[in-house]
Amino acid sequence: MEWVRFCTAAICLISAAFMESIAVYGVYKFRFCMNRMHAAAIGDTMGLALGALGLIILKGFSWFSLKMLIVVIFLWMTSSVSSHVIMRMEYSIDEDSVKEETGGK
Amino acid sequence: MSAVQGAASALLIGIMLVYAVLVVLILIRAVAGPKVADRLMAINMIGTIGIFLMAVVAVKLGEDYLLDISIIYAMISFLSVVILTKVYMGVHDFNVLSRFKKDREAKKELKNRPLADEDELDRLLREMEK
Repeated sequence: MEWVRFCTAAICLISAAFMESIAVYGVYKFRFCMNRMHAAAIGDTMGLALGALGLIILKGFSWFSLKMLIVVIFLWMTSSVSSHVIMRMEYSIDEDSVKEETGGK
Repeated sequence: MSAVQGAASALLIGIMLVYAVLVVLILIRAVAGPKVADRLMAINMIGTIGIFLMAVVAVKLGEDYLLDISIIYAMISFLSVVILTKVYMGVHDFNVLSRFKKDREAKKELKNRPLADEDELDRLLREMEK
């Protein structure tokens, strides 16, 4: 039983590391900051959730799980707000390049 | 230490190493830029990874209080991004305003200057408006 729990946690944690690697790869691959932000959001949502799930399974259910859940929910809410704020800044200081990349819209 | 605990410890150390490499890569992205938005986004990602690494350390050492620190870190990370964007937008607005003021003063000066040629004045004003 312990090995089953360990294997499930390992799958979750390795998937989380994989998701974060995809995010970093996307940040390097894309050329425009909006596209990069899309790639970065993968690591902030899926990567973090899978990692937290893996840690909760590895550690067992306790107060730790609740705190981890709070961290995940908080980051899910703030990650989107941060992306929005950063993009608003980019749009207000360099409107032309954003319009050029998005087809003038 | 049982076999499962040893394997879990090795797994957590491996995960931490992978994330450390990713942090270095994101730091290079933050330095490379080229825009402010890219840098801020990279800092945001480093914050997220830092929070996750704290949680991993909490499990590895068996110290639950480290998660409280990661909650605080999440809040501060979010606050720093929001405030930095506000500050940068304010600096940009200030630069635009001062450039506009400088332009207006230059135009006034140009109008007061006695010019022999009226066409030249018109041409200069048109160039400034461009």
